[in-house]
Amino acid sequence: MGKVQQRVLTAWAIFSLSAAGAPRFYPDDPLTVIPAPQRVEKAKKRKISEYYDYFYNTFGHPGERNKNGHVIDSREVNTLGEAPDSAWYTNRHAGKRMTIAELVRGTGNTTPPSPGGKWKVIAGKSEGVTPGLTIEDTRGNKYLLKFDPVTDPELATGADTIGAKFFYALGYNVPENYPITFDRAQLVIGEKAEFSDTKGRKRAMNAGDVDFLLTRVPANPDGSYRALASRFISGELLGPFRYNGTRRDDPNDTVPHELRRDLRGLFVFASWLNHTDAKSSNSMDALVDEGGLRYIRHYLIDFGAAFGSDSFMAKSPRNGNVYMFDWRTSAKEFFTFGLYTPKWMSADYPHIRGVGRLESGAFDPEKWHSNYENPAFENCLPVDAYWAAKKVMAFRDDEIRALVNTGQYSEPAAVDYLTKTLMARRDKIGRTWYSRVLPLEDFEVRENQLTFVDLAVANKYMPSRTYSWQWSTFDNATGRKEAIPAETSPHLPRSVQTAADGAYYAADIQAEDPAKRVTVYMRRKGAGYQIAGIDRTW
Amino acid sequence: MAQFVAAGRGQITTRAQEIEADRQKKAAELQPEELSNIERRILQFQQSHILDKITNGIGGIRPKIGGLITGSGFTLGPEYYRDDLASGKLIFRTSARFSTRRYQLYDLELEMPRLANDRVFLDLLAMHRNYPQMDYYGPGPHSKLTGRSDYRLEDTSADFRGGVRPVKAVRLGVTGGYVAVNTGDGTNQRLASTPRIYNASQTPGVDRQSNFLRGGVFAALDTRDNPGGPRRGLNYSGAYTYYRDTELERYSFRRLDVELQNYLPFLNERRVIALRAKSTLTYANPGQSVPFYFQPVVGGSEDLRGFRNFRFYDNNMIAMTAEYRYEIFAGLDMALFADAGKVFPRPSEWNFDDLEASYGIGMRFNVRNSVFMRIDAGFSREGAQVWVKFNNVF
Repeated sequence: MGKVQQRVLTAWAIFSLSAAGAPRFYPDDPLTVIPAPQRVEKAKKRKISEYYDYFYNTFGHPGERNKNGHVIDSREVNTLGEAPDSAWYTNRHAGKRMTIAELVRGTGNTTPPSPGGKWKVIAGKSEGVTPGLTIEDTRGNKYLLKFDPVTDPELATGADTIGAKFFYALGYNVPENYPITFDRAQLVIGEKAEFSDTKGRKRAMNAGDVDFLLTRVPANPDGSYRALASRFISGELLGPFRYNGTRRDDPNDTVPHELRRDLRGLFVFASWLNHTDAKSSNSMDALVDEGGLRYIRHYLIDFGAAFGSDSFMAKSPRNGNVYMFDWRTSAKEFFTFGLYTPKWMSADYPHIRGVGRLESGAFDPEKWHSNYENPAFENCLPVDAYWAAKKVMAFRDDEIRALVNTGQYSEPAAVDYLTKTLMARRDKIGRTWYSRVLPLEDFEVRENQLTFVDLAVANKYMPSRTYSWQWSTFDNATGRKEAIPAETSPHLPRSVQTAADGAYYAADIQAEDPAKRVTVYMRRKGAGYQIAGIDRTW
Repeated sequence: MAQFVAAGRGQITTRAQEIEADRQKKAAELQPEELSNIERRILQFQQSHILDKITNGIGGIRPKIGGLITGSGFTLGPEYYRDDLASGKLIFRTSARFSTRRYQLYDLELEMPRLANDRVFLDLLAMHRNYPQMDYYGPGPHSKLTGRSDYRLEDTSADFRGGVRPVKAVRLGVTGGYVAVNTGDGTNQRLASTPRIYNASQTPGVDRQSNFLRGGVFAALDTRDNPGGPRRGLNYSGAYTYYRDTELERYSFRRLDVELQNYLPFLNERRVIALRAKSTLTYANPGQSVPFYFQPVVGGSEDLRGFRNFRFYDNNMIAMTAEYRYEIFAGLDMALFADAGKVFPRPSEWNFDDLEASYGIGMRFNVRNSVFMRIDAGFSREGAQVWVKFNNVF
């Protein structure tokens, strides 16, 4: 993640660059749902080059980046610092607690490939590191069947299943993923089935191709096969989105992706779940039609390289700790003849079927790395990470276990280990990011006193602490703040209590570190008060 | 909506209107989503599968690069390769390869690696080799650099190798075959020809060559995690082979090959100590001898890397290597290595006395943990050697 050393006052938490003269707060702030998207008549399908993406991001550093002395605040954030519901993101578990049944259901768990009847194979590939099949079940639903590496049964299929559940609960659009077991006899070749052979050549598929493909995946003792059935995303698939810039043919895509809080914060989610392969080619834009409205919805796909899995094998201990290629680390290892040994090299990993390499001891939420640079991750600021950390901390132990269980691991030890490791990583994320800002939440006025919850104290990361206060008047039109003398307690000043409807006031709160300040903006509304906005410095 | 746009941004009174204004502005400037020129060309290149066609071929025919003996120079030739026969259970391969030093190899192989539910394997291989510049420095451990000569090795063989895999890591099997050998003058104009400066008493078989029936047994235990670039496990193998001279009845012998490899990882396999010991012992029938072209050799890119290729020939050999491998990044490991070894005339002289030694440093390039190229620099009392090889050393 990009290191911005200079502590900078956050700018307004706004959706976009407001025009000069615009008020700080509009009457409809804080917005919790983005307005309905504009209709998109057509959008171009396009693939991207994974090689180009790697080199461009590694050496080209695309997008607008934070630099020392120049911090670019997140956009598409409401005045409370939250990402509103949009075509990218939906507030789910952390916003309104989901039941365990809802968490387990995820984006959907009722339409796995029909267990009875034949599945028509409509495409297959044996090229690449792992083979795959595209099937259509008896109801006409299409699925991509993905498999585990021969050396590591349950590894990639488990990761892909539970990864989709977690990312859905965290707020992203994901495909329906099902771990399934099937017999060879269930597969029949479709009339127009196409096969991409080991050389990448396409031709008509035959039964022998399926047999050949299945020789390259692990078989169960009874001869059946385990696979991950990923249901096709509905709508017209347009290809991946990028983590920088915007789609040029989408009128609703106005915020550069590297500035979006929901993509910057994805850094924290990816670090929690060790989704090191969070890159463009593991995303998908789809032109969907909902109630007559056509718009582009953005998905995260393919979580086979999350947790301890690297899809085709267990993760290298290097994954998640350094980029695939990193000049600084490589130079240290080269010139010290390998005597340079960072902490992650000594991490402990168990040998449990389906788990691969995931651990919590050496995990450092601030030093976690995806496989290569991601512009949004590079821009992740402490306030972005704090936003995401709250979502991570919303998951209780039993909820994590329930989600891990959806991976259908054959060894109970796998569920135990993954659950405990994710709990430990969650706690590290909370402890780390709750210390980078003053983590005050849940502001409300009770008996003429402004109350809040200090998340660091509530989670016992630190003992209770004292806070200093300063109340101010706030001119919403000009943004000017003027301190109210001698008003330095949580109690609302008398002038606030007697203020006219629509008047704004601000309370600056800080604890032991004066650089970490929270400013709460209140709006008088009838007989009560509304929290209009929150700013944080770090 | 139109009213709002007409009103302009100055009349925005809600956050929703502000967002809508941004959208309207973008809607007026929409363009097709396109790739940059460079990305489009890279993508076209990828989708053309040119690299796949080069490495995997068209219609089973592909270029075969390398694969001849060390010292042959750059090698290229056509290969017909099919690994999709009988639902992937049958692999057929045939190739013709030529090198810049006019080495030639023609082969045809039928491999069935996964018969009987992966319990049985069978491999049939026929080959003709014509290597015109094989180095030979004279017999024994005391041969001199100044004794360098070269000879032509030409042989034609047909062999089978089959066996069982009782458990995943173990292979037991038998081998059998026939080989016809011919040697002659080398073609390197800078060197003397071996048959002209070494006689049959020093160099058995240099005067007359023969044909051989050969057969034997072998066993292997392989627990390596990844044979293409192992980081843990072991690989032990042994083979006992009888060579019967069917023509001259002067060169019948038995040969015992043993090789032990151990991979000791630490720091989560980012560091590996790789150890290898190998030895070949030969036992000639009474009154007969081991022909020089079947004698074991040390020196070169595979062992004693500070010495030249084929530096030492004799009836027996022992060679040991220790490597400390450390990862630099996902695609590159470095290695510090030390080699020791020797050749000797009689099996009874099997000991660790008077070993030749070399040491050095190497780079191991890998894709998905399989080494595809290495560069080793070896140093010894005879100087320095640099090896660029498209394989792993072990």
